[in-house]
Amino acid sequence: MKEMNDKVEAVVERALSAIENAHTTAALEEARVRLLGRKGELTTLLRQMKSVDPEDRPKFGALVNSARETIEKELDERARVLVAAEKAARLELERIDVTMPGRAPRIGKIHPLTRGIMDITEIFVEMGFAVVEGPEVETDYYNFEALNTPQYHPARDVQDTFYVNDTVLLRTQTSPMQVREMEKREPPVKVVVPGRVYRRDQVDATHSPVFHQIEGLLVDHDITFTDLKGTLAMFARKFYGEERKVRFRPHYFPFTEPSAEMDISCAICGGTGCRVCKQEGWIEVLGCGLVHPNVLRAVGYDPDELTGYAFGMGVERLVMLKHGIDDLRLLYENDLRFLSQF
Amino acid sequence: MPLKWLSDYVDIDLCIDELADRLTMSGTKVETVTDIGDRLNRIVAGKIVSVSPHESVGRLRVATVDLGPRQARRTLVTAAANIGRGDIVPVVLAGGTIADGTEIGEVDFSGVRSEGMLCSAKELGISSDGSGILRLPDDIKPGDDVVSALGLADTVIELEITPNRPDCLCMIGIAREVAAITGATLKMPNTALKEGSERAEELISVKIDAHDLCSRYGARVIQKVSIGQSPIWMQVRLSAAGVRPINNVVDVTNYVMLEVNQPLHAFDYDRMSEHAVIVRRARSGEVIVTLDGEERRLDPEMLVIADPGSALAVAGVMGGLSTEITEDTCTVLLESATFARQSVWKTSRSLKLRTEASSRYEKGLDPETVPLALDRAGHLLETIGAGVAASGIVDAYPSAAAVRVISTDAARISRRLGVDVSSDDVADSLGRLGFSVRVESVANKAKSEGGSLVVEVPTFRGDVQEEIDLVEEVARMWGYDRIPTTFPAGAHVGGYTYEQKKAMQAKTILTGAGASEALTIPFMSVADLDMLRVGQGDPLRDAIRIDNPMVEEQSYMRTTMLPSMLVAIRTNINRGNRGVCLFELGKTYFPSQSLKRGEELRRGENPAVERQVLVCGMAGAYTPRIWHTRERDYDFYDAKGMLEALLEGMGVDGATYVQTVRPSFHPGRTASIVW
Repeated sequence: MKEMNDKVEAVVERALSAIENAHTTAALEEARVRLLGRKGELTTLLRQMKSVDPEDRPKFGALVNSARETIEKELDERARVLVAAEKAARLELERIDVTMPGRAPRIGKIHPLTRGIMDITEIFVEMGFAVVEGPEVETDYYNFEALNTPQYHPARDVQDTFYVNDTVLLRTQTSPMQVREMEKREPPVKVVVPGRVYRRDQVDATHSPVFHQIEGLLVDHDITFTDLKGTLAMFARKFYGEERKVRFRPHYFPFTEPSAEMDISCAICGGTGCRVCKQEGWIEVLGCGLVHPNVLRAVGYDPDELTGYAFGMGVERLVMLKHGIDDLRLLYENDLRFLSQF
Repeated sequence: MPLKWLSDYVDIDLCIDELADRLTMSGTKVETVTDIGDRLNRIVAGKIVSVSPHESVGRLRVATVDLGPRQARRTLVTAAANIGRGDIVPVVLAGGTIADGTEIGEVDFSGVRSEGMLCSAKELGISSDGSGILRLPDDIKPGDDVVSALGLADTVIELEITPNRPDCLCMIGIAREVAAITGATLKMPNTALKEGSERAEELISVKIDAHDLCSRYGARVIQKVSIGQSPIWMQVRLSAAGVRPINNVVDVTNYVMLEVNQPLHAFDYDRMSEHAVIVRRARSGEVIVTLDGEERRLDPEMLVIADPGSALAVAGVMGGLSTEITEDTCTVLLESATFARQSVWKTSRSLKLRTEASSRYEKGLDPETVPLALDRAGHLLETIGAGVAASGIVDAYPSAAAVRVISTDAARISRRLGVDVSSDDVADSLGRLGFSVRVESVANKAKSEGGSLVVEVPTFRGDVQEEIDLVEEVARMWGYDRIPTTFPAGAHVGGYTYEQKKAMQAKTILTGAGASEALTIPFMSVADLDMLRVGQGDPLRDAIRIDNPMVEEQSYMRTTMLPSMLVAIRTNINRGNRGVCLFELGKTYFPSQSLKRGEELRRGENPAVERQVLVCGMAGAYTPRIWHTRERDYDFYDAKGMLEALLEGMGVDGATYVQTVRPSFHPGRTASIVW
């Protein structure tokens, strides 16, 4: 029995040394097979049970099992260490430079003018305005005549017009849609009209023969000048921010009466006067007024029954102010380096 | 608008900032406020004690000048020949500056030291006359400060006058606005006349043949005219207002025009045959040489002022050379007339001749100003010693303009504004602006359809046509800023149309797929279509032509999105952008059937068929050169892939692609999409 004891101990000792000397998971697996496999040393030892005294056999069995448990425990322990080390080595090997640029999908940008139009119309949509669009090739009737601007009217001088023939032109303003919408709809009429307009202006930093306007119109019973001020002051707060002041000054448009221009306090100087606001402290942002009775008459509305207000603003100007763009031409060159900034 | 001049007609107690703000907020927008004459420094009046030629330089003269009791006499060297002993002249002392900012120092002229400089009108900024030394009026004493004595330092305000307010294109108009907003009294200019014994109506006759184009023609005759320079004070004022002084008669006509907005024309009376003025339409092919020396061919649409022989002036636009005022003029006929603004507008455009007078006539003038302007001019010419007015005026005014009367009431005005204004507020506001307001008794009110206020519109306010115009006058006197804000009552459902929502969706998908949105100018040219190899009979050639394009390249409305997209791509490539991927959701324009046939359009009909079209353009490198991806060029399949992504995103299934040939595209790399 003493002899068998020694043999078991020797196997355990060899096993522990083999395990310790296994430096890879593969070597360890090899050791596991050599020690515990069907032809392994411990199995071979167990086969010698027959030569052990019958009374010593249970003791011998317990001895071998204990040895197996010891070896298995050591194997598992060693395996955990080796797997962890090998994983760490592999991860180290897979290390990359995360500061290198990513492989981003190419994303395009919406044009800043489109974005401006969307931002502005959205504010009016929230106030219950419907967004409509109209023809750019327009008649003299809708562009001028029906808007209380007959031929030889001094206001026609201000807008140099592209003509197609004597009665057809490229609209100089989005205002003709006031008339078209009133003709088409039953009051109340509450619309905003974004769109392209045309004037014969030489191209420079603030002029282009083609630009964009947004027109607004509300016609209903008992619309007053206070409603006009309320609506546009609300728009200005939402579009420019709460901190900007708003003022209305008398102005002239043939198709509104009384007419006004709305100014906002200059964001650059806060109203004290600077180069951007031409030392005025205020920046003109839109024209507006109550719809002139002659315009209502032109569409067959009774000015004693219905009143309304209208307003119009130049999108380029507002977008340029908002983003600090100093040259209008940039908006129509479509240089991707410019477009990608918005 | 020089403030010193304006102050003749209204007392201004406000500081300039306050005045500018009040004017702006009542509708007369102040664009700029400029100080003039502020560069002039150390300029005093001097009396010439002696003048002698320079000993070594022949063209120079040496003057000794008395600068009054408090300063020593100075020696000054000048090249001007027009000075003599006893003249009072402006002297810039050493260290002083003239109008253009030049600093004057002591200068040695070949041994004679000039302790400053004698000035011309040009150097003081009064006129462009730099030919000689300015001679000051006798009431200026040696040692007086010239800048203050001549009123050279002033504040000039530049105003934006809206087209409906031609009455504000003059001193009186602005003075009236200032009076209305400050409560001051408007002071009309002096029109007192001495007048000679001869009666104007015996010296001239006036006949209006074209009543539709001339509603009033007034004339005054000025005799014993001596043409010369106008007094310095007048030159100073004209210059400050931006008008170049010429001679006393012309300066007075300009002065009065700036005062009361009535253009005056001066004819040389002695060069008019039979001293008969005929206001008639031009004859077909009639020719006149205008004051600028140009020969002008006229037509019967145009109005002329003629004598029995020939046309003497293009009415309201420009006078003729044959009756121009010259140094020899002895008798002047002054014209003050009202011409139909449409006629002047058309004539000025067809002659391509815009003048100060024509631009005023075009906006519409008040016929009631005609005699005022003649009297004022007569007064000024007499006062400055340029001539003597003959007695009376000849005034052809066949049918006096009716005074417009508008009835209203405070309640109706309040309803438009949304604030309560009282009858007194209305009467006060309108009264200050020169309207007369009468309160109707209740008994009359039942009969009259309108309200309880009867408002008489002054003749200079042609823009006030109906009640709503009075609402604006009341509102701007009340102050727009005093009107509160409300939000319109009534629930409205707004929103976008189906097409607008789809367009936004498409743009979102396309930008997500890597294309940026372009916005281009929707013009094109025939050359663009040629470049795209568009066939002669192709419907794309059926484009709308612009009658008055700015440039030939922009003479048609586009029928295809390609040319403007190609320009955008070219711009990017030329500027060194390696890859371009752009889209535009824009319009193409085709003439409607009615437009093509030249038929009149029905109400509500669109002259053009405007189609919404998407174009997408890709060029150059697909990816910028990055370390981990190989660069390649955009190709057909990128475009097709973009389209597939769009269709998928928009929920369009089942599109197929068929190989096709189009003149503008590669014959082997073109597909049409069938769905």
